[in-house]
Amino acid sequence: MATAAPTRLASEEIKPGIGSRILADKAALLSGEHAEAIMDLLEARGILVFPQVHFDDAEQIAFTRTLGKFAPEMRGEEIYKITLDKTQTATADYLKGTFFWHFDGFMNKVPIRASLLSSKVLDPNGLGKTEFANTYAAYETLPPERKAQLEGKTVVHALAATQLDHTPEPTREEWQQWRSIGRSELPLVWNHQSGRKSLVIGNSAYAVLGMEPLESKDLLVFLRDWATQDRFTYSHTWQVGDLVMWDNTGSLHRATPYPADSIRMLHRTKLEGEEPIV
Amino acid sequence: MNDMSPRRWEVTDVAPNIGCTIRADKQTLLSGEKAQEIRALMESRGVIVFPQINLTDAEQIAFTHTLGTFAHELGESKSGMDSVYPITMDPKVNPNAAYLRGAFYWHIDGTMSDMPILASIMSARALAKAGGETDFCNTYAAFDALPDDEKAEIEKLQVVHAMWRSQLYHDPEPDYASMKLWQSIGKNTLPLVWKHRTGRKSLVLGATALQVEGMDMFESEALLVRLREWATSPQFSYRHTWSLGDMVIWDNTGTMHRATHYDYDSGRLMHRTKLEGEEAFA
Repeated sequence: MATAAPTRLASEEIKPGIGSRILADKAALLSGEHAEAIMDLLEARGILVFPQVHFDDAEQIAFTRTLGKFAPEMRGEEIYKITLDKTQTATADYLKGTFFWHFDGFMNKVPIRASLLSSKVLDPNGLGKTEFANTYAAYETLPPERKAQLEGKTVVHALAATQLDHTPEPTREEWQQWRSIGRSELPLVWNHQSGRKSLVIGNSAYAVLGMEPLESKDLLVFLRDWATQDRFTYSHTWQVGDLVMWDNTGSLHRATPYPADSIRMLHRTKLEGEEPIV
Repeated sequence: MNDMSPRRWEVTDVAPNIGCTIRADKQTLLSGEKAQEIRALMESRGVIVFPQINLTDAEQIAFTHTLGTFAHELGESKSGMDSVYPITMDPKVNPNAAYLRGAFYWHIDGTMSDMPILASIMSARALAKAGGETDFCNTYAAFDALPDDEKAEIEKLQVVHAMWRSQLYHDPEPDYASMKLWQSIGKNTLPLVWKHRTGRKSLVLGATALQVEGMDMFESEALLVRLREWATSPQFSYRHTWSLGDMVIWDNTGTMHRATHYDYDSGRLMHRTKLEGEEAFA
């Protein structure tokens, strides 16, 4: 009996500048046969949507493991529950920062490669979309003189920057607590091993080193506004069972506002980073 | 004027370090006979409340004139009629309502100019169902109460202020066009401690404060956060809960103020007049 040829991964583009939908059934995804194609497509498209694939936690964990090295949470959990409900997630306060454009892991030299989110419970009013922006495409389309301006620039990232967005008048104690969590210095442009380049920006970006505060903020606002224009962004309206995966090394993401008492619940898994920001 | 109501003049402090209440009749206020006393109280108490004095717009304008030089709004022709400025979040009443959202954070008015207004006078015309109080703090008293070594340490510091910083408080992810517009409103370098002609000193803080010159950006923010927390602590603060017809004057050169949150569609409406500044930041 002849061996069946591996099936080709079926997908369709969402927008030219970002996103693809993967049209494969659960069994094919869990078999791992498409893993390489999925990871290639992820890098090329920034985000992948698996509409209503309905993974349970065990399946989401298994699927994540087919794609690379599984990254557990800080306390070793395999699934992180994303909700503003403090009884479900101890760090719910920090999630307020997720309403602004960011990438995950600015404190790590090697940030996580990708995150996978499954929708478990919807906000009853359809709030709490997740939005993505392609920071490869944003860099690649910058005018040459702007690219030249960014060359060699280093940005200070700090938790304080993410918290000031929603708590602009902190107490002294809050400020000290944010500051104690630290800061990192990252290049403004990531020169990936692949040869591609992406912008390293987001709400953690506190200031560009060596620039006046005004120039620095001007540049960071310009780049965020540029990177999040319509042609590079995709806004995902959740259906229960949807899985969305994004390349954390080439995109920004944010949640659109939803109330603190919303029952909205997403379950997240992550892939370890493979490449330092250089 | 045919006001036959009996003359009344009672001054009461509202808290040890800030605020007083004046219960007076309209005629006494409008005559100007107490103007110097009101100005002195403004400087020593920071905030003066005239409970339910119910001045009309014309009376508020006339009263403002008794205290100093009437300050016109930006863009308002100086040859034109004096008018009150509507403070509201309703863009139909005030097209610049969005810009006023910076007022929910502690600030001094006029940090983009070297000569900020001396005082604001605000009357309550419509109230929010909830919230919409006005908080004041006394920046003279806050400076005076600092330990001497800390006073010496901060007296020589200069701070860059920029309007865009205060707009980021309520709009942390602006589009680039908004950022450019805010930048065009200006920036200014001001002393952290204002040495007034009287010899008194006050702190110059607030939402426009961007960075202490010559200081590491995190050290700078830590200092600004610490001084704001100090200056706005209960011992130096007064929260005014408005009744219809209340009028409040505050010394803009020795206080910070902010509004507490209220719904943007609440209908809350304040009418404001201002006194021209008489003394530059120094």
